[in-house]
Amino acid sequence: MDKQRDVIEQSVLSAYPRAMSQLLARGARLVDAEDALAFAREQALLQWDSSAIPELPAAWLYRVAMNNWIDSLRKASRLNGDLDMELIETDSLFQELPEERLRLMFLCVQPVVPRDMRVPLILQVGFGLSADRIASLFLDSPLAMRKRLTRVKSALQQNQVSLELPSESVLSQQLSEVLDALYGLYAIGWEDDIGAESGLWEHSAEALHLSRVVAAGFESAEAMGLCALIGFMESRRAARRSADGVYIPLDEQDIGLWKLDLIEESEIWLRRASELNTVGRYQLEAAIQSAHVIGRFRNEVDWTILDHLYEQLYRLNSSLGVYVAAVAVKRKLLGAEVAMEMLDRLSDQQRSTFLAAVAVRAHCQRDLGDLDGARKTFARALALSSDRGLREYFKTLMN
Amino acid sequence: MKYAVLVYETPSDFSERVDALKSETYWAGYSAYGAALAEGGVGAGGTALMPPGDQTVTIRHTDGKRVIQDGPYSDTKEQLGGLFLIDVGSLHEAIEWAAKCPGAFTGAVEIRPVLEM
Repeated sequence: MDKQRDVIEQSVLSAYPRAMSQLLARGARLVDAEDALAFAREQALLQWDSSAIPELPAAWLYRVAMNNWIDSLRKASRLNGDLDMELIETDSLFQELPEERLRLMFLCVQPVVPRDMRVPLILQVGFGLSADRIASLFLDSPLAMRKRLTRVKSALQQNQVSLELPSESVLSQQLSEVLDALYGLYAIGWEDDIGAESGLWEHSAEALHLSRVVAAGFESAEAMGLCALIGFMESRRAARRSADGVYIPLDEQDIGLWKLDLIEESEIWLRRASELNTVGRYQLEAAIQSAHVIGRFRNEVDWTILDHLYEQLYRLNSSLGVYVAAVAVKRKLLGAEVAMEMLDRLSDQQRSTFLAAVAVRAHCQRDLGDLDGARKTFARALALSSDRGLREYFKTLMN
Repeated sequence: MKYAVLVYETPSDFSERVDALKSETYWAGYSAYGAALAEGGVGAGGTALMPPGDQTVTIRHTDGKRVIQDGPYSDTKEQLGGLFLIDVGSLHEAIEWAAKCPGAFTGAVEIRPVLEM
């Protein structure tokens, strides 16, 4: 019974974005579209049979939701007579973007949506995830997440962005926002073990798919860079966790589990990006991935190239995360003492509570023969991890 | 803002505390967590509790009558095993720290704001 429900839930979920964007394209307000789709979803769960799911689930959902929406408009007397579809048919650029979900992404990265709410909004509007589940992913309280999502949606409503279509120049300005959102969407299913448990890898797969659509549709080096970056990461998915979920670092992964076709595709995107002669964050990160991958294949990592790439990346993005990743490369290139000196330049709090910095310090201590110190520092790294697989990994390093 | 991170532990957590093979890992986990809170500048005290046992009693006065019972207030599988007080900027930050508490991986942790007097 539950299994049957799962099958139905799954096909409702995958049809959801298409139905949602159709409703929006017919002029429904975001909140109304959500209500109508919630109704359609309930109906699907009542009426569908897992062995006989409608041939076009999205069309079914759309039809039921559309009727529900029109009913509610009539009840609210906002509508007299027949709805003239042609009149509220929206036009131009949104329609031309090939993917419904991509249209939704452009909607969700409007300036009125705060940056930290964009991926949560995409997960709710584009994928139909509940606010409670989104809250668990973003370490927030469900109540707070519900409120923030509601606030964001009403801000979108007031600005009427669901109907206003951006001009081409606005669209390309928004491209970098869409790229960030796509990366955020991918990272949700990548960063932690929650992904493995709750099927979020599907969202990652979708992010990869959408990044291909964007890379193919816009002549943008960063879009291609992002596509390459996601492709490289995705190619290692099967190798990055052991059967019982323990984290496996890149240099210990079984490269037989890597997806070579994805790696090749990523190399091609990266090459095409470099032909456009502009450097950006995603290109550099993809180039870093590429250098690591090639290093594993050749059994010899070129740390000089990696060092150079990280220096460039740090110039574009002077974040703590990039700094520490660059330090990890320095450790390989120049040794643990140099790396330790660089870590010492961080503030006390960063050095002792930023997980990546703590992990690099532990490795340095081990390199320098301070095994007792390393054990204590790995214990600290464990204490700073909220990911079960990573905790297990640090446990093994403590022994 | 101050929050209490209440750690609810399972019977097997409580037995790990005194298990010859597992107690070291158990306590190392909590001491590393406590040290991380302190060095992160958010630790504001706390205490561990003994598991419910023969020194655990519940007292209440009902209808003018005092009733003292053996055992904990709530008869649930998970029991309060201790608490941390943390001083953080937001509930979100409190959740980030609480999600790393060893107890969150075996039992459950509850976050409650402290009533400042």
